[in-house]
Amino acid sequence: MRVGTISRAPQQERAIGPSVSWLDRILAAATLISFVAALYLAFVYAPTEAVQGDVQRIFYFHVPIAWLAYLAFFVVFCGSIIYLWKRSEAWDIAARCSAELGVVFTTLVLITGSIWGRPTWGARWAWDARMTSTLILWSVYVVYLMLRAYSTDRQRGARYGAVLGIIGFADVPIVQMSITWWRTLHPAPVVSLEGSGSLPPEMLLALMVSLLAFTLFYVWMLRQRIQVEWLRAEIDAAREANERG
Amino acid sequence: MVSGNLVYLFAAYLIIWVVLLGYVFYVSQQVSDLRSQLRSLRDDHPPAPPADHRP
Repeated sequence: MRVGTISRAPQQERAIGPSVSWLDRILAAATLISFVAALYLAFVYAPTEAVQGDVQRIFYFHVPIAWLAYLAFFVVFCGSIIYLWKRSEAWDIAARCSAELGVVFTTLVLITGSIWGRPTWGARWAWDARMTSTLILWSVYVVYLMLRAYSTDRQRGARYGAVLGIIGFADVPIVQMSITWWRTLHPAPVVSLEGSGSLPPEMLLALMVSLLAFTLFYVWMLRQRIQVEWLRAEIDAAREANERG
Repeated sequence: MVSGNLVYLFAAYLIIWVVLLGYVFYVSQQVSDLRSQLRSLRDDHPPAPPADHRP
């Protein structure tokens, strides 16, 4: 999907484009290793949950993916604010690329939640507060991506996108707090910063390693996705230079 | 025989991996296509040498 180009990327920033950095290689390797560890912990190390059985193991990927969607949209939120404040194209690009990753993660949350819901609640979908607010979150950022992809005026698209990216983020705390504010099918939080969570240590370890794996994946993919945008800018600049002769 | 619950577990993880690997493949293809485009553009029109190296 073509989401726009950078007309005047600074020379130093453009240099990111053409080479694979050692940091990307390390990130890719660390992501792979941590995913292998996360799968081992989720399928072998963590005990089988007494009530739900093996299907509860969906939790070890479903929850970290949801948290990473929050992180991705938080980066959109910050990038949008900085873009509106400083008109920095680099932050606009970071926001746009992060929104794409956030939509991928939210799509996976909705799909895996629906699969998990069938044997657990007897329904693939229920219009409860958590699921409905997550669907709204997904829709907001799909609209954001469509706006960025189809706007003919790049600057205006970036401005409108930034406003939507900031307003859309208001739904993230609603999604997170929905299970506390309303009665939903989702259980109460099993992990808390105060240490009052109800998760056994083996399950908590599996969850945290999976969270680490997805965080590394997010950082790695965000860098790759940003590189795509810089390469496009390089190509546009090279074409312009060629046309000038 | 795979029990009913395991089918859901398998389906969830299969979809996660298909989507994530599909996205990685899509982005890495874009990076590689754009790099080769850039290389051919630069090969067609190599940048001019600095002024003090010109005859």
